[in-house]
Amino acid sequence: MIPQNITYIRPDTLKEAWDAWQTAHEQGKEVYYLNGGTETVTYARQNKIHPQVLIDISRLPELRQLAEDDADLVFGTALTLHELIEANTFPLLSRCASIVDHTVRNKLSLGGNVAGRLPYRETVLPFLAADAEVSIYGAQGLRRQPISEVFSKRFNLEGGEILVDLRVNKDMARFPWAYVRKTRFGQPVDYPLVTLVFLDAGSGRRGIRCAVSGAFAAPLRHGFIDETVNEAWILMDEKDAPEHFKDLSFRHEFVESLDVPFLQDQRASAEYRSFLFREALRECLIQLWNKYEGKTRL
Amino acid sequence: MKIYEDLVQITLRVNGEMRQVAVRPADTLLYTLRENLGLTGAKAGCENGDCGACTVLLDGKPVKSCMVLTVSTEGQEIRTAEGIDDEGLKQAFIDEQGFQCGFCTPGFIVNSYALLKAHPEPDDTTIKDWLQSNICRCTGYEGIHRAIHRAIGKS
Repeated sequence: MIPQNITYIRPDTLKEAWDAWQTAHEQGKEVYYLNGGTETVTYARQNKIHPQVLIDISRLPELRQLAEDDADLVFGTALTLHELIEANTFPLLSRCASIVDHTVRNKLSLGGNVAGRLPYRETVLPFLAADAEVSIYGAQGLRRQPISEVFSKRFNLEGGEILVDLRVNKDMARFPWAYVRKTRFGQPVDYPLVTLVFLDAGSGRRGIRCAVSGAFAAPLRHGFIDETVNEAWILMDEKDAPEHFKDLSFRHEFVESLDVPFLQDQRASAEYRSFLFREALRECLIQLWNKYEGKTRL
Repeated sequence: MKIYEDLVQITLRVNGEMRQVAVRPADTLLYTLRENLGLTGAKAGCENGDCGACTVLLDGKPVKSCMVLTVSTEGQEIRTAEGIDDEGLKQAFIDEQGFQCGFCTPGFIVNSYALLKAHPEPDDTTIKDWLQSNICRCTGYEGIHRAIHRAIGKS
């Protein structure tokens, strides 16, 4: 049970939701949007957050979209992880959504996961790798922006703005991918120490895009990682031998030259995460190699 | 647009019946089921979304009722352990000793019921995937696993 009293608002439109947030904010109240609610309800019960107003946006039709237009697949942020897995229109997203347990996946929303308070936010990884577009509702109505412009460690939105949907080019959703997730003791239902995804956009010799969660303080896509992975892939491709990965690219020197510190907490040391990250890079490359069944793609 | 403050009267559809309840908007579904409606099948275990003792069906899908606000379930079909009418499944838990202290059992029954509805003949991987949602502190997992196998085809 949540100890404090709250006001619960269920708007019928995006504008009503926006207006309700602005009104509550102007009154000096602590206001949150409620989507799946798994994190918000739990944190409120634990007294980690103290919402006075909750605006339930989980039934807004724009946020419930699972659609496609001529160019893009559209994923509304109120879709649950279970719905994303079942639809499987973007297989890498389905894989990344296969986190937590089955019953939580029935409530946890895409928006709640990508914009949550926990540092992992693993369902954002395929969108980072695929250079997704994001629809945001704010003061000027609905706008679209590349994810790279609004996501840096987290979605950087103005107060009251609503993350409506994420859009991925249909071709991107079909490209070969690789996924590795490492947890303590290999437990499937646990927070990740490292989750790494590759999406091979196949546009020439530098098409692999990488996104990582768990290893650092926030999910990220990093140009240096992309570059190093693609160089390793080219070397492997030229030599037609995947065993070259482990020797050529992922020694300590590589991770030490990253300008982002590895996360260190009670779950794992930075050194261990660095080790797992290098292992994940190697495993992802081999997964991708195997998807081409040994045939070079160049 | 709906706005709920203080104590509000709402109608919930629970186990096929329309039930009027007076709730605070901050009340979780688990709390309402137990304290307002006397449906104590869903148990307050961790209240943190980890243990699965509070599992109920919301529109046919198993969810943890400790993580759901009651007011957000208006218009949805709620089904608790009391509303699970699959005697074959329940008997299988008895026959295979799929419980020890019994605290987690309603959550397992609800989740298993949903599993067998979604996958009438689940393989071991699917069973294990679904049952990761529930914890048995007596560690009686083998009996639970056997019970589901026994229930396959009877549910």
